[in-house]
This record gives sequence, structure tokens and C-alpha cells, in this order.
Amino acid sequence: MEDATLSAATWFWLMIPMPAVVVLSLINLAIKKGRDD
Amino acid sequence: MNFPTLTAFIAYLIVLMSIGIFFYLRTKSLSDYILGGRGLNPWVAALSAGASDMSGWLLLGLPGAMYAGGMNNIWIAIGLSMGAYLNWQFVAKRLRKYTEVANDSITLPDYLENRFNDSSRVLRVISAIVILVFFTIYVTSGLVGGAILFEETFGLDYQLALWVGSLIIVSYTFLGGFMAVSWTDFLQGTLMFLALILVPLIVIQTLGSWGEVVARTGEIDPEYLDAFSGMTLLSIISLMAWGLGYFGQPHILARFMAIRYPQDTPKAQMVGMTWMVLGLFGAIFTGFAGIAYFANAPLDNSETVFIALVQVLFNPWIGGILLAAILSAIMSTVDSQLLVCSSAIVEDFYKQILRRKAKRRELVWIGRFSVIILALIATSLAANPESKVLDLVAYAWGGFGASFGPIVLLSLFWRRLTRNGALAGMVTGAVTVIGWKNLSGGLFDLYEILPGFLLCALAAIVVSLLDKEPAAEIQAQFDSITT
Repeated sequence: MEDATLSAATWFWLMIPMPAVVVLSLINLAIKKGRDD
Repeated sequence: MNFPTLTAFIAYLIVLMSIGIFFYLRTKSLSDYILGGRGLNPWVAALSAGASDMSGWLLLGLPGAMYAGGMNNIWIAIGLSMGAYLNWQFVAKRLRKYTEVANDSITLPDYLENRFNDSSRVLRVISAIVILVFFTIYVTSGLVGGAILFEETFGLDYQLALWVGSLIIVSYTFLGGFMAVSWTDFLQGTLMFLALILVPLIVIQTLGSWGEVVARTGEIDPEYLDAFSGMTLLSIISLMAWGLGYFGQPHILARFMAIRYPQDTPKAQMVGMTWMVLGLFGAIFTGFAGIAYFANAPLDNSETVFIALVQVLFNPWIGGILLAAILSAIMSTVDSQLLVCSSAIVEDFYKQILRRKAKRRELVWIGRFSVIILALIATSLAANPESKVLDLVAYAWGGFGASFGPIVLLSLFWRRLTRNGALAGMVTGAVTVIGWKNLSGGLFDLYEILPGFLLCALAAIVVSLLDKEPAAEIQAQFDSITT
């Protein structure tokens, strides 16, 4: 029971692609704001 | 019937109806009714796009799939988040600008006709037919979902639950039009968001820790912990292909058209993507933690996992509000779709074919009347409780994604696309989805949106290249859109 864990590959696909689109959106907003200023 | 739950439900609906009535009193023109007069601030545009997009799927479907199958269901969430990001990043702002330049278009068929200067109206009518067919199916599935929720929560008879739900949804769609829909979607989006954050946190806390949830789940079946268990490359691609659907959903694209200023788009994108990704995580963890929570007494229907967790973990007052979030999710999608159908009838049939000189006030009333008729048809279709809700949703999502998606993208980014190309692509996409859906085995197990999308794009490009170049003024208008 103690050994049960999510594999590294599952963690990667769970935790990287979805937050990545939020980070990309934030970068996009920062770039557009920078241009406007 | 549980008194606190019912009271919280009713209080929520009164707030919703009040918003509808408030905006009803402010509705003056068809543009106000359909698009809220292009007046949505970035927060409202983002959350209403999310709420109208996600429907009960986010609170019932995805947690249910996670509960039933475990981590190998994350692929659909990954595909959808990527599709939504690309839609905001590349389509939203340009479509907002283009629809204003293209004769102030306020619907997708309107935009397509004006984009290609199509005086034959063929493009408008074909796209309106696609909208009416697929949205009627979509609305039907939403009403079935709402009826099941009322039935489960309050013990109502299915038919009574269906008619009560339909009456509530139609009432405020009918009263306030898009502005009411967008503002109520905003409220619904906020509530859905809170519910999806709160429920998994409380479940994990109740079970002790995240490690405990994983350990208990692994003890039941280690396969639940692996994103690749039972998956092939084809099945992963198939699930991720849901993301392609975003480019062609008329109810989501309508939100882009209604943003107040094009320069508000990056902010709306940021808000929308944050809401969506946190919501997806909430749904994933709710379903996954449900496996451990109900380990000793598994649920009969996996899609009731969110409802069941709310009922056992929260006091009835808070539970009533959280369950209202499910109703919100279903209603926010159904009302938006009814409204897009109504605008298709008004703008694309009534105004274009029946009464070209109809006054704005008359069009507003025809729009409202259409909502009632469409809702009656959908309610009648939903009267059969054997309907497969998720199959219908997937079908409609795929139909729109494959018929409109490539055409919207090409119309925004490829000067050479012609009206005949767009028409050929739209018909090819729709026919491919319908044909593929009826075949099974091997490659035909692939979600129909993928072949539909690719063949639609191919047909549009090939026919456009064989066609003569678009007129100079169409190309000049295309070149005037800068983003």
C-alpha cells in the first residue's frame, strides 16, 4: 500500500500541459501590456 | 425533499431570474438581445465562454469518467485545454475585429456570408441548418441532464423534473437574451469554479492526505494510477482531438464577437484559461478522490460522484448551493445554445428569406418566440429518459468542430479561401462526422471530429485553389484586419 504512487509519466502529463497554457496566456498578456505601455 | 437544499436552490434561481428581468428592461435592439451590444468586459466574456462551453460535463461527465477509469481519462482534459488556449490565442481577437469590419456581423452565418460577400445566401442557409440540427441535439442532451439532476436531488418524477428545468431555462433566456445569459453565465461560472475547488479539497482532507488517496486507490486497482493503462496511441489521439472542436463552436465564438474592445482579449484569455484549467483539475481530482472515498460502497452511476460527495460531505445549505452549481453548468450551456439557434432562425431565415424589411423590435420578438419553440422541441425529444446524453454531446461537439472549425480558421488566416471552398469544406466536414459516427471498428473507433476536421480543411483548400481568386474588395478587407 505504501508503494502506490503515480508514475513520473502520469505526473508529467497531469501537471505540465494544462498549467503550461495558463503560463503561456500570462506571458501573452504581459507582452501585450508591455507593447501598449 | 430536503428543506435547506431546496431553499438554497430556489434562492439561487431567484437571483438568476432577477438578472434576466433587469436586462430584459434594458434590451432595445436585436444586437443588444443577441450580443449584448458588444459590451462584455473581459471577466464576463471569459467566464461566460467557459461556463457555456463546459456545461454539466465538467461537474458530471469528467469526474464520472475519472471515477470510472482513473488517470487514463486526463487526455481529454489536456486536449481541451490546448484547444481552448489556441482558440483564445489565435481566433478570439481576429474574429472580434473581422466580424465588426464584415458588416458588423453578429452571428457565425452572418460572418461567413459577409466575409465572402455571398449574395446567394447559400453559405448562410447551410451554416444555419448545421447550427439548428446540432444544437437541437445538444440542447436535448442538456435538458436530459437537468432532468436527471432534479430527479436525483429532489426525488421528482423524471417528466416533471424535465418540464420544471426547461421552464426555468427558457424563462430567463427568453427574458434577457444574450446580456442576461452572459451575466448569468458569469455568476454560474463563479459558482462552478468554487464548487470544483472546494469539493476535492474537502474529500482529500476527509481522507487524510493526497498520499492516502493515492494509496487507497492503488490498493483497489493500480491501473487507476496510470495515465497510459489500456491506452493506445489511437485512443490518446482520439481523446485529445476534442480540443479541435473549439474552433467551430458557435456559442463560444459568439463570446469572442461580443468582447467590448479587441484589446481586452489577452486579459479575457488569461481569466478564461485560469478558470478552465483550475476547473479541469477540480473535476479530475473530484472523480479520482471519489474512487478512494467510495471504495467500500461503489456508486452505481459513476456520473453521480460529484452529487454523492456533496451530499455526504457538506451540510444541506452549502450542499444546496453546490448542487445548484450543476444546474448552473447545464443551464449556462443550454441557454447559450438556444440563443444561437434563435439568432439563426431570425437572422438567417426570417430576416433573409421571409421578411427582409422587418423592424428591429419585430426581430427581437421573433427571436424570443423561436427560443420557446426550440425549447419545446428539445423538451419533447428529451422526454425519452433512455437518451444517451454524452454520446449526443460528443456528436454535436464533433459536428460543429468539423463543419465550422477549419472554415473559421481558414477564413481568418487565408486570403485565398473562397465561398465555394468554405461551402465544400462545411458540407464535407458535416457529412464525414455523420458517416464516421455510424461506422465502427479499427480506424473508425477514432473520434469522428479528427477525420471530419481534416477532410473539411482539405476540401476547403482544394476547392478554393480550383476556384477563381476572391474579388479584390474581399482581399482588401482581409488585409485590413491587423492583430
